[in-house]
Amino acid sequence: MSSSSSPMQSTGRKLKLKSKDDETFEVEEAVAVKSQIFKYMVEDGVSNGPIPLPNVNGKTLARVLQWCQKHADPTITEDELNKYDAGFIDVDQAVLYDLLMAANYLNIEELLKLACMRVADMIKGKSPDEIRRTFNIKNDFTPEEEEEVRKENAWALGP
Amino acid sequence: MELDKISNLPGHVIDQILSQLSIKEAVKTSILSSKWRFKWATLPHLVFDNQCFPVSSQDQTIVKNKLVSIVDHVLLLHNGPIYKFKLSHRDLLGITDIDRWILHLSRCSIKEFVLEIWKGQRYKMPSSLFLCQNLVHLELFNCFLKPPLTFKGFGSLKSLDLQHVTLAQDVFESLISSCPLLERLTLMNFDGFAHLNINAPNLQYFDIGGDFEDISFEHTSSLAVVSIGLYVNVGNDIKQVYSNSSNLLKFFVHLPVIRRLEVQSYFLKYLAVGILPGRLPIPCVNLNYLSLRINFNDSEEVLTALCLLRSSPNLQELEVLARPEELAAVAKVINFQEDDHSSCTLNQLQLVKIFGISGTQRELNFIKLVLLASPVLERMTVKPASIDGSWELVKELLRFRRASMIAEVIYLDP
Repeated sequence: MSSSSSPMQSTGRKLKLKSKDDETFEVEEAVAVKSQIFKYMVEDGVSNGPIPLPNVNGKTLARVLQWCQKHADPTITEDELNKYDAGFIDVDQAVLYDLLMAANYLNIEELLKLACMRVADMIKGKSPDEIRRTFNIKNDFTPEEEEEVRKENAWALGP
Repeated sequence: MELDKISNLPGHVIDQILSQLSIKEAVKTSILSSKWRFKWATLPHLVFDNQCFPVSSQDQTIVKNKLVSIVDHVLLLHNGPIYKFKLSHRDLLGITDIDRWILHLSRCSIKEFVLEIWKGQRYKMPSSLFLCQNLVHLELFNCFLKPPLTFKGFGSLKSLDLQHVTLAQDVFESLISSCPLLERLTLMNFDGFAHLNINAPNLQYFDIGGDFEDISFEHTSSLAVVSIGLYVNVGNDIKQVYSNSSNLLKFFVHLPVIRRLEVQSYFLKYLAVGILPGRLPIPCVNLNYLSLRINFNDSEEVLTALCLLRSSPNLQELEVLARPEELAAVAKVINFQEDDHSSCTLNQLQLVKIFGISGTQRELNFIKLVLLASPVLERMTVKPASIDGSWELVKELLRFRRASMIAEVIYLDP
C-alpha cells in the first residue's frame, strides 16, 4: 500500500487532472496519491492548473480514479476489496490494456499488479495456439525458425 | 482484425506478467512469435520450486538429472540481471550443481536468494555466495555456513532468514554485526552456537526458535517485533554467575521501542532466572501485544508475567498459553494481595486470550487480576486444556468482577 508521510486527509485539497481527450477530473489528494506520480507532485507542491495526462483517455482515467477511490477508503475491509478487485478487472481486453498502460504511466503499483495477474491468468494453462488466438498474436516464425525454438526450449515445449 | 496489443507492452510490464506464471509456462511463450522468443529470457525473477516446476517420474535419479539440466538450460539462455532466485524442490538434494548456480548468480547482481534443501545433510554454502554484495534478502533452509576469511559482510542485506542451519559462534556474531542495514532476522532450529548477542542498530523484527544458553541485545533501538522460543527446558541447570543478575532486566534494557513480544516454549522460564522486580525500571510504553507461554505451577514464571503486565501500561492485546507441566518441585503459594491489582493497570487492554489452563487457584487468581485491571476490556476468551474441571472453571469465571462494563468473557470448549 502506498502511503504518504504527510497527513493528507485533513487538507481536503483536490487535484485537477485533464485526460488526453480533454476531459477534466477533480480528485482528492488522498485518493490521487495512490499514483506515485501524483504523490511526488503533491509532495513537491502542485501547480494550480489541471495536470495534463496525454497518455490516458477520459474513460480509462475515470475507471482508474474509481479504483483509487475504493482503495483509499479506510472503512473498507480486505474481503470487500478483494471482491471489488475481482469484479473490476473482469473486463474485455481493450479495457484491460488501457488499464495496464494507465497504471504503468501513472505508476500505480497495486493496480498494475492486479492487471498483470489478470493477463497471466489468461495465459495459464493454454497451449501456444490458444494463447495466440486469445491475444491475436501472429505466428511469424518460418518453419525452420519454429523448429529451432522447439529444440532450444524442448524441456518446456516438448510433448 | 483485432490488434495484438500484448506483444508491444513495455518490457517490465511483460516481466511482471510472466513472473506470475511458472517458469515452464513462461518459457513456453518463446514459441508464440519472433517478438516473444526471448521475452522470458530477461525475467529478473527465477523460481524453481515444486509448483513452478512439476517433474513427474518415479526414479529419483532421473528426476534429479532432469531438474539439473533444466536449471542449467534456463540460466544459460537467460539474458540480463537476475534479482530474485528461489530454488526449493523436494527432489533436489544438496548437490554440487548448486555451487555452480550460485557462482553464476554472484555475477548477476542477485538481490534476493532463497535456497531450501528439503532432505539430507546440511548443505555447505559455497564461497561465491559471500561475493553477492547486492543481496537484500537471504533465506536458507538446511544449510551450513562458513564464510571465507575475506568476507566483510553483506552491506545491503536487510532481511535474513536462517532455518535448520549450522554456523559457528564467531561466524554468527560477525555475520550479524557486519550487516549494518539488517532489519529482519529469523533464526529457527540452529546449531553450532549457543550465545546470542544481537548487535543490530536497524533491526526491527526478530523471530527466533531454538536451543540457546543466553540472549542479549546491543544497540537495538529500533527493534519493535520480537518472538522468542527457547525449545529446551532450562530446568535447574542455569548457572547464576552473579548473584545480582537478572535475565529479565538484561533482556529489556536494549528494547526501548518494543511493540510486539511473543514469549514461547520455555523462554519465560529463562526470563524468570535471577532477580525479579515487581516492575521494570523503565516501562515498555510501546508494547501493545504480548503473548506468553507460561507454566502456572512455576511461581517464578508467574511473577515474571506479572512484572511484565505491570510494566506494559499500553498493552492492547494479551495472549496467555498455559504449558501443561508437572508441578514444580517446591510449589510456593503466591498470595495475590487485595491491593496487588492496584499496581497493575492495563488501561488500553481490549482483548485477552487464556488457553490451556486447568482451573488451578493460581490461574484463577491471574484471570481475576487481569479482569480487575482492564477498564476498557472488550473480550476475554478462556479455553481449558481438557474437559476435566471445566464446569468448576466456568462457575468461577462467572463470579469474577470486571473493571470493564463492556467486557465479554467467552468460554470455549477444549
